[in-house]
Parts: sequence; C-alpha cells; structure tokens
Amino acid sequence: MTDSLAMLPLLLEGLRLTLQITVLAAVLALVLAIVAGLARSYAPRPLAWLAATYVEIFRGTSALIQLFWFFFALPLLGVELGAFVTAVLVLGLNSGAYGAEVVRGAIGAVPRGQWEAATSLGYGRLGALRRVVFPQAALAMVPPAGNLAIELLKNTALVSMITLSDLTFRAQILRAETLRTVEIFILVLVLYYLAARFITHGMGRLERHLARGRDHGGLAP
Amino acid sequence: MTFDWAYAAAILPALLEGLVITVQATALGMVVALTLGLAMAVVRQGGPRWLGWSVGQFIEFVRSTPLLIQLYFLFYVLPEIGVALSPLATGILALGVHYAAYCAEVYRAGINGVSRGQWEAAASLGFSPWQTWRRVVLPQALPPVIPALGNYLVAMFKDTPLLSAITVMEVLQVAKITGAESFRYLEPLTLVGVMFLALSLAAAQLIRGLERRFGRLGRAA
Amino acid sequence: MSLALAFRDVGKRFGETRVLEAFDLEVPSGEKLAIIGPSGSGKSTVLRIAMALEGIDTGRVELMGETLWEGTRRPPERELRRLRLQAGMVFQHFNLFPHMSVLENIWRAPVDVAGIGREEAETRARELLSRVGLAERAEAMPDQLSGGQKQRVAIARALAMRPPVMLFDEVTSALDPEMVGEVLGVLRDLADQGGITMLLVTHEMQFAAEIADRVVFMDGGRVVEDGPPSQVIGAPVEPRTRAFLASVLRGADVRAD
Ligand SMILES: Nc1ncnc2c1ncn2[C@@H]1O[C@H](COP(=O)(O)OP(=O)(O)OP(=O)(O)O)[C@@H](O)[C@H]1O
Ligand SMILES: [Mg+2]
Repeated sequence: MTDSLAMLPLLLEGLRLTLQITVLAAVLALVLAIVAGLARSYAPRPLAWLAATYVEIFRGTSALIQLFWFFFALPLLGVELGAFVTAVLVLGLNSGAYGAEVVRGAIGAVPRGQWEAATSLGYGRLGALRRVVFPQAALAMVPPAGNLAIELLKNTALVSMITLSDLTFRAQILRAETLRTVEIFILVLVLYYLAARFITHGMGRLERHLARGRDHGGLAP
Repeated sequence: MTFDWAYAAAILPALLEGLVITVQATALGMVVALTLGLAMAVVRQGGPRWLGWSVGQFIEFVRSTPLLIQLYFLFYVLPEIGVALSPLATGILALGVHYAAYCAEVYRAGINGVSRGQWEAAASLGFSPWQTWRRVVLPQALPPVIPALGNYLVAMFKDTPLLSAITVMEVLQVAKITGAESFRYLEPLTLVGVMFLALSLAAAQLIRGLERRFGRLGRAA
Repeated sequence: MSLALAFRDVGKRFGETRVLEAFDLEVPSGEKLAIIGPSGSGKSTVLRIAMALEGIDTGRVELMGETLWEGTRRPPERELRRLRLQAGMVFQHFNLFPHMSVLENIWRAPVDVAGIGREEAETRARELLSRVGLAERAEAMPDQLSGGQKQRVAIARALAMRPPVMLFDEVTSALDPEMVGEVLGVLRDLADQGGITMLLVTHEMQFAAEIADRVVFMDGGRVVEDGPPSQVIGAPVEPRTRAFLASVLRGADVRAD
C-alpha cells in the first residue's frame, strides 16, 4: 500500500499534462463550436458549407484516427506540429465538431417568437442573435457541453499513443516497471473519475449561475 | 510528398481485411452492450435497492473513465486472475461493457416513457414482474430507443480502432503496420479515415430513417 | 353473508398527508357499492389498496376472506399476486396496452397468468367483446378506438380474469360527455347480471343512485355517511354530504349549460 502511494506523484505528474491538454483543447473547442455552429445556420453559403464539412469530417471519424493522421501522416505533407500541439489541436477540433451541433441545436430550439420580438424592436439578424437568441440558448447548451467536456477528458487518454506522457502513458510505464497492474489501473481510473466529477460539478454551478434570476423567456421550463 | 494513388490501391485489400475485423468486433461488442445494458437498466428499475444503486454507480464510473484504460485494465488483469481471452475477445468485452453503460441509460429513458398506469394495469391483471417486463413494459420501451441505440452503435464502431492498442489486427493496426513498413503513413491513414467517414455517414442516414419510423425518444440520454 | 372486502381501522399516509384515518368499510359478497366524495378524500386510495397496488400503514384489509394487508407488513410477491386474482380494476385512463390488439389485451392475462389455453382464452375474449358491444373491433389497436370504446375494452379485459370483486375508479371521468352513456350501460348490464361484487368510485350521482345497493360518502379519509342511495344521495343526513351533493349538482347544472 505504501508502495502504491509512492507511485502517486508520478501519476499526478501525468494527470497534470492530461488536465493541461483537456483545458487547452476545451478552449479551442468552445471557440470552434460557436463559430462553426453559428456559421452552419447563419453564414453565407460557402462558409456554411465549410462549417458543415468540418463538422461532418470530425464527427465521422474518431479522435484516435484523427490524432494518428495529424501526427503520422500530416508531417509527410510537410506540416510538422509536434505531439503536444497535435494533441491540443486534434482534440479541440474533435470536440468542437460535436459542440457545433450542440450550439446549432440549442439555437434552433429558441422559439421563432423570440426572433420576431427582437426584429420588431428593430434588431437586425446579427443583433437579434447576439442580444436575444444566443443568451437564451446558452443555458440549454451547458448540460450537453458538460458531457462533451467529459468525453474530451476521456479522449485525452489517446495522446499516450502519440508519445505524450499523460496519465495513461505513465500508468503504462509504471505497469511495465512494477507489474502491479491492478493497483495502478484502479488508481488511474479513480483519478479520471474524480476529474470527471469535478467537471460535472463545475458545469452544474455554471448552469445554476446562468439560470439565476432568469425566467425561461420563450424556452420551456 | 503527395498522395500516391498506386500505393493506396495496393494496400487497399489488406486494409479492407482489417475493416472486416473491425466490423466484426463492433457487431459482437454491440451484442454484449445491448444485452448487458438492458440487464443493468432492468435491475436498476426493478431489482433490490442496493443492487440498483450499485449498478447506477458502476454505470457512472464506466461512463466517466476512458475506454482505453478500461481496455488495458482487462487486457492485463484478466490473465492475472486466470481468465485467458484472446486480445480480440478482450477488446470486444471492453467495448461491450463500456457501451453497455451508455445503452443502459438509453433503455432507462425508454422505460421511464412507459406510464405508471401500464405497470398498474399489469399488476391488477396478476402479471408477474417478469411477465410485466416482457409483455407490457419492454415492448413499449424498446422501439422508441432504437435510433438512440443506433447512434451508440456508430460511436462504438468509431471506437473500435482502439483495439489496435492491444494488438488486435483491426483496420487501424493494419494501417499502422503497413505505414511503418513503408514509411508512408499518408495513404493508409487517409484511407482508414475515408472508410470510417463513409460508413459513419451512411449509418447516420440510416438512423435518420429509424428516427422517422420510431420517433426520437431517448436520444437525449 | 360472507364479506368480499373489509377495511378495519385502516390508516394510510403519503409522507405528511394522512389519506385514510381509522377507515372502516365492509362490503358483502355480491354488493354494488358506490363510493362518492370530494377530490382528495381518498376514494382512489381505497380501491388501490384493495387492488394491492398500494399498502397501508395501520389496520388490516381482507379480500375474499383472506388477509391482504396487515399493518406495514407486505406479503411476499407471490402471495400478493395470488391475492390480486381476487380483484380486477378498471382505471380512469383505461391503461390499455397500446402495443396489443384489442383482442390480445383481453386474452393475454388469462393465458399468461391463469394458464388458460390460447384458443379458449380467445373465445372467451370474443364473448366478452360482444358483451361490451365491440365484437367487430377485435383486431383494432387501442389507438384506433374512441375513449368510450377503450373503456369498454378495459372492462372486458378485467372481466376476462373472472375476479369475484371488480373495482371501478371514475371510469367515465376521462370521457367526452357523449360517450359516458355507453360505458354506464355496460356497467348497468354487469350489475343487473349479478354475482360480482362491485365497488364504483363515481361522480355520476344519478347513475350511482340507480344501480348501487349502498352508497358511502367519504371525506378527509373517513366514511362520513353510509346507507342506501335513497338516503345518502336522496336525503343525506350529514351536513358535509349535503354540502358536497349541492356543489356536485351545481357543477352538473353548469355543465348542462
Ligand atoms: N402516490 C401518492 N403520493 C403522494 N400523495 C398521494 C399519492 N396518491 C394520492 N395522494 C394524495 O392522497 C390524497 C387522496 O388521494 P386519492 O387519489 O385517493 O383521492 P380521490 O378521492 O380519489 O380524489 P379524486 O376525486 O381527485 O380522484 C390526495 O391528497 C392525494 O394528493
Ligand atoms: Mg381518484
């Protein structure tokens, strides 16, 4: 037992990298999700088409294949990104594609009446979206965004397969060195689980914060 | 370096063979996920309270931790406790258990969609719990969740390349080996990506058909 | 005369709300008993306890001479199922099985629960369907029926198990007015035919007065007045019964407008 505690610092070191990648990729995903989600519905034709292509490609293949392609194949086309940048970029692109669908769905669920009310007050399309529709939709985006954040956290385990020494990678190394498979993997599973709980908890707070003092406007309660 | 079409054509048969393994693993994994998930959903709703609670915690845990670690865990731990499975069988088991947790939540949504009155009518006619599930509840709960289960089938298919991490010769593993031999990763990995994209898009089309037929209940789960 | 159903000093709570308190009721075999009372007075709860869909907290309930509930003790599942065969229930919202044809709704339980052969069960189901005037809708799905037709099928479904006691919980309340008559007609036939103990929770005072042997007025989880229809509905003694009947009649007038 003392020995398994001795492994903890090494694993926590790995956890730090895991969380680093999660946070950076999440920021990238958030931006991509909003841009692509809005572009798909409200941008001019070529842009909307571009957004749709991005979303479909990254949802249609898995994060692992995307990581491998960017890490092993892309350099052969002359673009060398390094493992860390590849990890953040690919996981961000992947989550962003799913997030774009969340954004699109939430905005689509805001009743027409809200658009019409905004228009009748003299807002243009963009103004109505920015001031009236998006703020209402944001609340509905939080729970699915929380699920996506957990999927992202889980996907970071894949970066161990492109040489990054994240939590999963360290577990593998430790296992090879100590052969104490059960302890190590249970410890690692628990660490991922706690990180996921933390995300769930944070998203719950965010949701309550956004919902505070707001009636449901046109959205169903 | 540019895409070499002749080389791509040359490796295509080997990749397709790998794809067959991938599809087989997905199909068997889904059988495990569908049955185990249903069992968990039923126990959660109708079993003893302590068991239902434990199953709920298990589902939560499996859903919040990476499939890759679960895969390693089974791969290294099963032999230690005397269960000798081939890598492929281990992979199928891991996929099955992981997705069973998701399927259980989908089933639960379907079960919750069956009104109390149906349970009470069954009880008033003297149906046993088993008869109530089989004759009254499940025939109503299952059809509406078929599209949602279909979505998880596609998700599992995209996750199956993870089995390459435990040496299963599915399509990604074939691509990696081919690439390592020739130092050309571009063609094999791109082909794999295209295969997944094509199959996922086709499946998405199919699921939209299912949604038209069965409605969309359980999709949000 | 033997008792079909007996509630003895029964208490029942849902959390903080006391739904039944010191509730006593005896129903002799073969009696047609109407239960009336304001919303929330516990009428449905009485039927649901008799159907073993709901337990009790104190007291004792006997069904066809056997103890169904005693205090908080819950009989084993198997025992409960055996006792449930002594009663059948028809619900306000029909609760037909939507994925089965009308005919299967009726024969399914006799086959699965009572172990009757499929052929015999179907023959019985068809007989019951013609008794409720729906012989030609045997192959329809419940969705294709009107509310009144659904409720008639639900009655046939409960009868198919041949329970000695039938429980009817506001079986016409969810129906459009023009369909109430057809369902009451079926109940009237059933009452006339005799042999079955019937408990009817209803807001149809005239109907209750007409077919019931006895009427019980409940309020606040107790029996407030108990007697023949000519008394409880015709000339109530208790002020609370009078107030209730007056409000129901006003409601009826309003609806007639
Ligand atoms: N499952 C339950 N949980 C909590 N409270 C309940 C439950 N079922 C019934 N109640 C409460 O018990 C009381 C009696 O309910 P019951 O349904 O027996 O009344 P009722 O006389 O049938 O009324 P109604 O005429 O409206 O059908 C009500 O206050 C109701 O809110
Ligand atoms: Mg009631």
